[in-house]
Amino acid sequence: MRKYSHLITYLLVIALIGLLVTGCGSKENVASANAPDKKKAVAFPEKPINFWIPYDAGGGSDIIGRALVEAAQKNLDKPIVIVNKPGTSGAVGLKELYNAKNDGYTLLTNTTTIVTHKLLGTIPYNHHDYEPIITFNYEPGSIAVPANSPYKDIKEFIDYAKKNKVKIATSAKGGIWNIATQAFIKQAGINADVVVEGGGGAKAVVMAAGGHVDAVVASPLEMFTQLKSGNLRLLSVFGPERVDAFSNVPTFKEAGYDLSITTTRPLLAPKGTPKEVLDVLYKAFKTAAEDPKYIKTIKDMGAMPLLLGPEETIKFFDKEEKVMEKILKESGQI
Amino acid sequence: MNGLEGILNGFSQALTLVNLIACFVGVLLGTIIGVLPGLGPTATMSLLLPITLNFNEPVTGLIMLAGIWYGAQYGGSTTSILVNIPGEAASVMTCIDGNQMAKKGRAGAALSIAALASFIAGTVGIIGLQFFAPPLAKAALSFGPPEYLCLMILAFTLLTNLTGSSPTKGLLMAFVGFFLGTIGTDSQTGMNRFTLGSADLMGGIDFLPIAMGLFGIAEIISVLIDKESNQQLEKVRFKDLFPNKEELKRSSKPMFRGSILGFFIGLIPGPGPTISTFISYSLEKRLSKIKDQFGKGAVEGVAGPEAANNSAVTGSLVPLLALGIPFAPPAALLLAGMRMQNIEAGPMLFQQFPNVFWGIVASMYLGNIMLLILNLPLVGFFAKIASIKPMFLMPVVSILCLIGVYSVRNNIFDIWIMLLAGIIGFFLRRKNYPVAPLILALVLGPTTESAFRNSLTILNGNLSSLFERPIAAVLLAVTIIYLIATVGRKYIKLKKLNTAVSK
Repeated sequence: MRKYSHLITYLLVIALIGLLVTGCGSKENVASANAPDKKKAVAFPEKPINFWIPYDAGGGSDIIGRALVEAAQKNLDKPIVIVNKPGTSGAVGLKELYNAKNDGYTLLTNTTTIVTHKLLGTIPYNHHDYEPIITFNYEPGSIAVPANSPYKDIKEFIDYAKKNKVKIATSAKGGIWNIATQAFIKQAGINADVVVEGGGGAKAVVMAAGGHVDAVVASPLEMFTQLKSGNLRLLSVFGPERVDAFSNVPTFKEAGYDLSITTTRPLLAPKGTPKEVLDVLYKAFKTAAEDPKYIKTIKDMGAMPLLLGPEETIKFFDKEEKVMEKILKESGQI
Repeated sequence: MNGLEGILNGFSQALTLVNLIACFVGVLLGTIIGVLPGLGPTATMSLLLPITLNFNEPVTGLIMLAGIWYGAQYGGSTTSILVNIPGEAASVMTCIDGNQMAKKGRAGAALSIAALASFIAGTVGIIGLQFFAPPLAKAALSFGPPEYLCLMILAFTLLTNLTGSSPTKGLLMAFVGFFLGTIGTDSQTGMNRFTLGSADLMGGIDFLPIAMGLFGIAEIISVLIDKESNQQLEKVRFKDLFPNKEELKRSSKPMFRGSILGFFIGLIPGPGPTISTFISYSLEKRLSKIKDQFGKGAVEGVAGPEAANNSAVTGSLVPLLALGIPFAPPAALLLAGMRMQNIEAGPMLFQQFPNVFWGIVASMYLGNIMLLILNLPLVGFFAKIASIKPMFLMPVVSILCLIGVYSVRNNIFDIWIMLLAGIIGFFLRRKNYPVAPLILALVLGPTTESAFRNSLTILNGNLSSLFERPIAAVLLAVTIIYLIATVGRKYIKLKKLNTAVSK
């Protein structure tokens, strides 16, 4: 027994450190929740601001988020620090933001999964559980085929797929492009198997570029290199309008279908963040989202700019929630 | 621009003062973060990304980013050898023999061999990248889920051969790893598997907390409990810092084999560096005449895998630059760095931005030399660490583990996983259960499962069509030959033994 006393001591020390770390965090939470800042003229920011990206570095949310931060940095005196918190299509980050201190020093960018997570039951929170600051960009779902495939436009592809079973690659179940794929199959009334790859649309895009499947559904940003290098051909985008980087490709609506599915990125703060602080942040990030350099950067990559204020963001996602609920129900996902 | 003209032009760029400094800063940062367990190139590259956008020439920033990435591969083995903690999945194999070498007072030799292997592999990799990038890039695209599935079948067949003492125990551990890999949200159906309603578990269990727990924390616990083992640390003399002639001779072939193997595996999607390390390890074990030395400090077990993981990283630059396909987060960041400067990776890179391609290639030759010069003197310093008394060393190592694990996903949950894995790892070690198969299965399990299910969809549920795809068929054939050879050899041995006994 004596032999193990060292082990027990060691584990106790480590456990205490762990408790201390978590304990400190939660104590501060309680204090700030009970007494939100009373100051009138806010001195904000007084220290660096954490900007959480709940996805892996190098992905779509990461690249766009970094472009926004670069533009916003000019408008704030303190540095904005980017922290990647990947996990469960952004759900881990959302959960952590829900528990984070509401002082404006912790922000999180997200995607349309902010409404789908609650609908699918991943986490019990949606956009009403946070303070939206702005919405700063969107990307439409889009469908592409390998370059050597015979289909020149979306009509030809759908005609073929009505008679023959096709295979469409896309992101993991619960992810926005998976939802888009199911909705597309339903809308077009085609016969298709869905081939799923975890971790965003990137792997599915490679699979299609190698000709292992008939088509891929992802964002133009994720397909950009393969489209430009001629391994993939874009057939249609599922957005409200054409994408600037591929302005010759028609929308799905133009082809006569009623489906618009995008991933739209809001910037969120924890619920109860003081109004004055939110105003400072709104001004800084609104100016950033209007920055011509930011707009050009994201357009060049195949993404689209969009600017909505806090109330508009709530309204937008209220509408989006209904749309998603309908799509998920119709395609039997909930 | 042809090859010679290209590379000369590349050197003329890489040798400018600002680019040389960028390259040096990159590889230096890479070495430092590579040594610290858990801290990987991804975080550092993303921190520096905004800075790299501000240079006059886009290539300067890219040289720096690339330097961090391949520089980190040099340092990765340090903690594996010194304190038995793999800082990344690709360093797991190095723990097995590297740490045994350290325990025998050969830490310096192991570190030197690792640095040398990294240098040779890095250089072999760049030669491959320079001459064969465009044709080889197509190979990356030809790997669909069926081909990947067959590669994984081969990999798992080799896995059973990895840890000597008891194949049954190794297999058992691999199954546990496989099981841990199923935890989380299933990407095909969206069902939660074994998540107990926790949003943290839905994201799956990351390999790093498990690896650092099973190796690192378990090591610390054993040091605390088995006091006798503390005393064995031998004083490191100066001449022990460098490998002796025999060690050099024994490791030269594994280095070259590992380099070439790693480069080709790097071309394929998926965790290439990791796969390449244990394929190399099991290849060396099979070819070796002293198989029983493996696991007890065989220098081949350090040289092969360390070369393989380094050239796999260089190999993965081929699909990255020639196709714009990133297989790993650091690759994705390099791609992001290019995109933000409006340089599009892909087939057009060689025509539109020859300066960028050749500049990076040339800087990598220089960077590898810098890394060798940087790392060899560090060997002495690091080898001293191995002789620090555990009562001082272990607390520091504990803290490094805590920080390293937290920094990967910035999630406290991972720390608890690491501590739990540490306690379990301690008891596994007592009972001689090898933990490397568990970690490798955890890394490869999810990709294997997804390749299997996607293959079924693509092949319309008919797995026998695997043989109709050339690459898949070759891989399966190799697996079958390997199995027959292994079983056959055992059979012959048994027969010989029987006849000997009966006589």
